[in-house]
Amino acid sequence: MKSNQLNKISSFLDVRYLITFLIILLVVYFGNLAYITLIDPRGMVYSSFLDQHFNYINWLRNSYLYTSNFLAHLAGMDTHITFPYSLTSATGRHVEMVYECLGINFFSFWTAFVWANNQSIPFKIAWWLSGLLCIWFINCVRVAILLMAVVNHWQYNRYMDHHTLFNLFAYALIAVFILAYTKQHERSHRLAVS
Amino acid sequence: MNSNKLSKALIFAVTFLLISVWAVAQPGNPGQDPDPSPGVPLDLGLSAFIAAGVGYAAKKRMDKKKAGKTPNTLPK
Repeated sequence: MKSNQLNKISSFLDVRYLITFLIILLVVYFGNLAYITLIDPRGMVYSSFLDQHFNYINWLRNSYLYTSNFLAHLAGMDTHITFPYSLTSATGRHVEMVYECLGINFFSFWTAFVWANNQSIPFKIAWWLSGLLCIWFINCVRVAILLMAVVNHWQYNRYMDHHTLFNLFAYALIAVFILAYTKQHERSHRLAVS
Repeated sequence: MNSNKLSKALIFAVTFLLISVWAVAQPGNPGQDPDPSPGVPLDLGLSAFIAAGVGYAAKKRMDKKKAGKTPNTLPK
């Protein structure tokens, strides 16, 4: 009975891919969440060692702040980093990089998306790393532009604020990258078969 | 991936998930930074990512059907 149902599902879903994808997604997604708990001094399970020496959340946040600061300077803005969270303009207006802004959920998704596929390890590593880099860079640009919008008091759209608009733009770029991966994946699969 | 490996992987994932849920259930909501002022979130919910995965799995299955392959039933 069970097997029949699974076979029915497998007639319209690639079950192996889906299960592998879900396992990787859940492990990475909740793994990151668990790690944040470990490096939070307010938590019951706090590791000062991990907090001081392997706080990759802070490394990632700082990389965003430094790069966005650099991009904002390139665009002619006078900005500086106010540690630990903010990118601040000379006028005092600022944007903050809290946990939700780091794009870690996108990193988790991309990791699961790439590693669940049947491909050679070098192919996966190349696409995985370039995808992570792409998401990271899009987020850096997004933060710099958002600060620009805040500082220059750009007019708010009637239906959508800058925040949502830039987020949609970032999602669209990530979707384009997924599409490019899919095309390349299919091409290399066809070559392998022929 | 055979069924034995798959079961082990599933048990591992569920255990990991339960541990992380337990770990997050602590004072101060450690999933967020202490500063409550508005940030610039780049975040889609987990359900959106799962939906994307299901969509891609369906696409892969359709591609295989087009290529004339038999359904990939779960290993017995």
